[in-house]
Amino acid sequence: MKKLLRIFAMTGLLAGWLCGMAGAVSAATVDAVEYYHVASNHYLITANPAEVSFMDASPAWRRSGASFKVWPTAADAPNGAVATCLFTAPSIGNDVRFYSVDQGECSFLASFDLAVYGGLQFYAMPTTNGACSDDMQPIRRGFFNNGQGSINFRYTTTLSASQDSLDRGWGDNGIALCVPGSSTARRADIHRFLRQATFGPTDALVTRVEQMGINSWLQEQFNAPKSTYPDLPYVAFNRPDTCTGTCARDNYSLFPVQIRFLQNAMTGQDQLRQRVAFALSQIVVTSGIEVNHAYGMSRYQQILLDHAFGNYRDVLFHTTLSPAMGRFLDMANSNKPDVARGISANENFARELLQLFSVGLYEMNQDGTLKLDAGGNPIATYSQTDVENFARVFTGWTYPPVGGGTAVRNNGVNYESPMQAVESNHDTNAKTLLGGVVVPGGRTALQDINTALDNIFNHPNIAPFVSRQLIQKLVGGSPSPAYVGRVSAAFNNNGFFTRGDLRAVVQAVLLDPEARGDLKATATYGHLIEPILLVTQLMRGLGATTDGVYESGQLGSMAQTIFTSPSVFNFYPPDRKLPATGSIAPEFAILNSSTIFARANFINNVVMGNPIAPNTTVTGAVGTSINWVPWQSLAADPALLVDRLAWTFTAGSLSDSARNIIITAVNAVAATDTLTRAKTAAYLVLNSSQTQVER
Amino acid sequence: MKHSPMILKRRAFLQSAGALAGVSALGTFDSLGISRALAQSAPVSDYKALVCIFLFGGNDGGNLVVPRDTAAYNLYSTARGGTANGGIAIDQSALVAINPKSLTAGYGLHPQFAPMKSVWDAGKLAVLCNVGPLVEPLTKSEYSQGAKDRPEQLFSHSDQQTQWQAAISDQAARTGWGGRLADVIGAQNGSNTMPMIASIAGSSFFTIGNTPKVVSVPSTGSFGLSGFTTSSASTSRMNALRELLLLNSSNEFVREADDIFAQAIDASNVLNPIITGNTASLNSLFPTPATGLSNQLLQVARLINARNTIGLKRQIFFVSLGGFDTHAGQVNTQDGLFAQLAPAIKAFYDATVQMGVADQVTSFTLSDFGRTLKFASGGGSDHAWGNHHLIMGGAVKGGDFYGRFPDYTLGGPDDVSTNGRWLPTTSVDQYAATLARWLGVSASDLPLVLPNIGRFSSNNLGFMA
Repeated sequence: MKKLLRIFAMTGLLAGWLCGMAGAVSAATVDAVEYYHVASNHYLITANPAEVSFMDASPAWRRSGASFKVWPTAADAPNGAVATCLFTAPSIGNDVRFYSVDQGECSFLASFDLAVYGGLQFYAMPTTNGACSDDMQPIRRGFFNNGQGSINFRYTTTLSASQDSLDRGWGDNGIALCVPGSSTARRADIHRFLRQATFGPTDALVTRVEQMGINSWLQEQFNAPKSTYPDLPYVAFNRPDTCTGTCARDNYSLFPVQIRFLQNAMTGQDQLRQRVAFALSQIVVTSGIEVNHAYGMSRYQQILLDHAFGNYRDVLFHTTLSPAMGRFLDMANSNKPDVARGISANENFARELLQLFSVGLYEMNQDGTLKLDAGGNPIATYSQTDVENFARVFTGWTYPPVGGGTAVRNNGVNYESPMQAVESNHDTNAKTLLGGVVVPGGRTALQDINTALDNIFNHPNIAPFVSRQLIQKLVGGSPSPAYVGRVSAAFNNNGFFTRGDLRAVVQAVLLDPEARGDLKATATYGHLIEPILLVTQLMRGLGATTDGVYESGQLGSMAQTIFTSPSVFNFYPPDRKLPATGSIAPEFAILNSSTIFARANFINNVVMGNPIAPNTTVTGAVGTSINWVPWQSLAADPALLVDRLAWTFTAGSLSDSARNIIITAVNAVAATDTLTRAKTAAYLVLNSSQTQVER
Repeated sequence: MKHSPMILKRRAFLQSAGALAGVSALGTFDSLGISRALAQSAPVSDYKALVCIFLFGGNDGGNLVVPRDTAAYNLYSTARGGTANGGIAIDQSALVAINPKSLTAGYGLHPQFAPMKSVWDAGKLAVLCNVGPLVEPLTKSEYSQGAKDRPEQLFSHSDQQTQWQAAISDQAARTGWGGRLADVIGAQNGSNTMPMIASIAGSSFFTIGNTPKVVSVPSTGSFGLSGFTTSSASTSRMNALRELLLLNSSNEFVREADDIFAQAIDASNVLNPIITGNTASLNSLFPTPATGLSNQLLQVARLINARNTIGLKRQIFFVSLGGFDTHAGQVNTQDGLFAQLAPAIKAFYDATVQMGVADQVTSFTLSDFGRTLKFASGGGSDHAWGNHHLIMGGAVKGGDFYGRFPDYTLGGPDDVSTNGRWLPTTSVDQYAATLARWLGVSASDLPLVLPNIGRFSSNNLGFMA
């Protein structure tokens, strides 16, 4: 705390220092920088450059990452701007800082014995009717008092920061100041939006969204021409001995589907559709662990592309009858129980459909929080008996006969078209579903499936269950209950009384205030980007040309081989928490010392290395290459180079200290070696955790 | 490439406050207890290691260990639908015959375990029968009447995997028992900053403790950053990368990623020369062609072989084999998996003998759950509960069964359904406690690792010498 006393001693000098500046040519604005003190959970802002240096050197404090622009002098400020009065309260706490442009507030504070006047500080505009004009940025003042001597003020620039304060017990004073609005806020929002809605921002996309606005761009995406997966022919289940090398690769592995996924992600116009389909592929999971024939996985992923903006009920129906799912979760050839031989219906698909694809383990409120019983315990959504009943619903389905026709018995694996019912293998006894709904006996296999999917689809859990996961996969890991609730509402009703409309759900996810807005500076906002997105964001952001062959092969060591999760539980669980803080952080489940090297070394190979030559055994191969010329043209000015990269890859969230470290490293490369300068900057920006954690 | 261990030390210092906060947030654990344990765990001089082999998907223990006497075998075989027409019983004559020391009945291991017969005969392999997650001791009537708490979400893969790895079944756990074990006895390694836990199978819940102390090493290939030279530009780039990792961002996710990266760089400086060095005499013990699991266990053997270089005295390793969720086509699938498992663990045992540490290394299996004894449509079995597991090592009192072998009657006294889902008679807590005690946790500190152990009558099942 002694250091803080020194801060205040310096503060007294501030007015004089600013007066000294007045005659000099000064910048139009200076940064008011926010600092955070972990032990006390207190904040402090200052716009005094000398104090900024002092605070940067103070070990107990660190920059929160938030800052806003203010006018240092009256000469810089527009008409109507007012010098802020500063009051401190050293006897309460050395980090109490009350800034105001309201003369009434200033006089009021002056009447308190404990308040010490700190002089006039930076200039800001007062509010009009509690609001700032459109070209100004509103700064909210939060107030903390735990009644035990811990008192603090905080000045927040974003709704999410303010919400974060409220969540942690702060009071809200409303908008206290209006400061120069920055075009960076909108720019940051657009870059962040494109990280959420596409496989990575490109200059062209940023320009397009800047011109159209986010909303119009979304409508354009809903109508963009659809990407496709290769339409591959049936192959026998067992690889013939004569099929080796490229034949094995192109038919008996997912290779053709994986590289098409990356090619679509690189150049497809339907970026949002692909992102949603990719998210669905991680909810309604099938995996190359078991479905390793390209023609099978290709058809399965096409279902998800086709229905990405459709209805979730259709997603459930078409994936349920997909032979890929049938094989992955053993619904194919699961026949009615054979009492005489003691065989029961296969429970695998029934269980995972309920647990992972639709309603989840526990009953939820519409905001995704758990319902609790009278004893305070969560309430199971379904029982083992329910699973056994659903298992009987899903009996009687088999693969379509090879070459067409109608199935009459259990067939071998064929992924060409949806599974077919063999009614004699279907359990026609009555079944009891969720909520006690009874399927009467004697129905067909298809009737039973539709009744069961309706039963699931109308369960109240499905809206929060699906909404929360789509938020996590598009925007980030730990949405607030209010956010989940807003998206659930869109799931329940798209505005035209339709339930499950994914177009409405996706819009609600991406337009929510928690996803949109200025730089997100709170300590708890953000999520690690998964390996596939790291790869595509790198490629698209740097302007690479690639056929996906090399990249597809590198993803395994990062623990995310495309369409090949280790099990139906996806690559990482949606509820994984950071051990230290308990925050939800799903993608961290696959970040460890091995995979972090794999990520770094992938960046090294494509950025620092030479172009990767085309694999001549792949039709249309172009290899992987980056056009460095545009980046080299910036290399004479390392700051400009790093700033451009930081916009592309961090949506403007790269901290000043990280920026300076990278600029220093770029300056260490001879100015004449523009290629190494560009590569060095890209390597460091991409390897920074500030890039890999999307904010 | 050469680094000082600076990054880690600086990080460890920065994290000390966060680590303490994590401990006190545990609720059921007493933070004073943790600090007492840390204070009392003095550095030790001997070497001991645990190797956890996780069989992902839920291994069918019913076909790992089979009753061999005719009446008992027939009961088993009937429940499993015999050996033909989609039945999943193992042929009686194909079993690897074993006779547990303390039992009169004869049993058999799955035929693919023939390589392990000599280890069983030497008394270095034990079977723990019908073990599984329990909140507290539970009888079938208590289960049926709902008279006592049962584990959350029985029969669900994700929940049961977590419970086996957490050894906590009555609430959502944030840490695994391997991680907590390292929290409590970490001080026995003195000031060594190398993580006490090494996973050769990527991230796992088992290894998560309250402070980051796990290193994930690939099963093959090198382990470190590539692309750096001694040129000044390259050196500047490396220095910049290290500075970036030290920024101590206010964002918790950025900080976490930085920590993992920094710890990886420090660990690779020590471990990469070891795993890329010449280990021909160990390599020769392992099967060719290598399998995923044999490569993982060979990597463990290399790390144990370099124990003096690494300097850790207590280590925990995690390896895994997946694919055990045999809802259909079980006979062939499990046969193929056991054909990888048995030779790999036999080679690993032989490696510990060659290195002279057989008595100091104990390997054990975990898995999601057991499977229904009754077979399911498609020639498989469904998710169940209690399961049989293996413990291997020179310090194991092997050649014997521990726990109680269940009654195989469908709907019988050990079956909570009519499909052969056994109610465990031994808890995961007790299984873990017996191993934790052997590795060096005192009886009084055991609740810090296994908070519910006090609910069970014994914290030592007796299978460790």
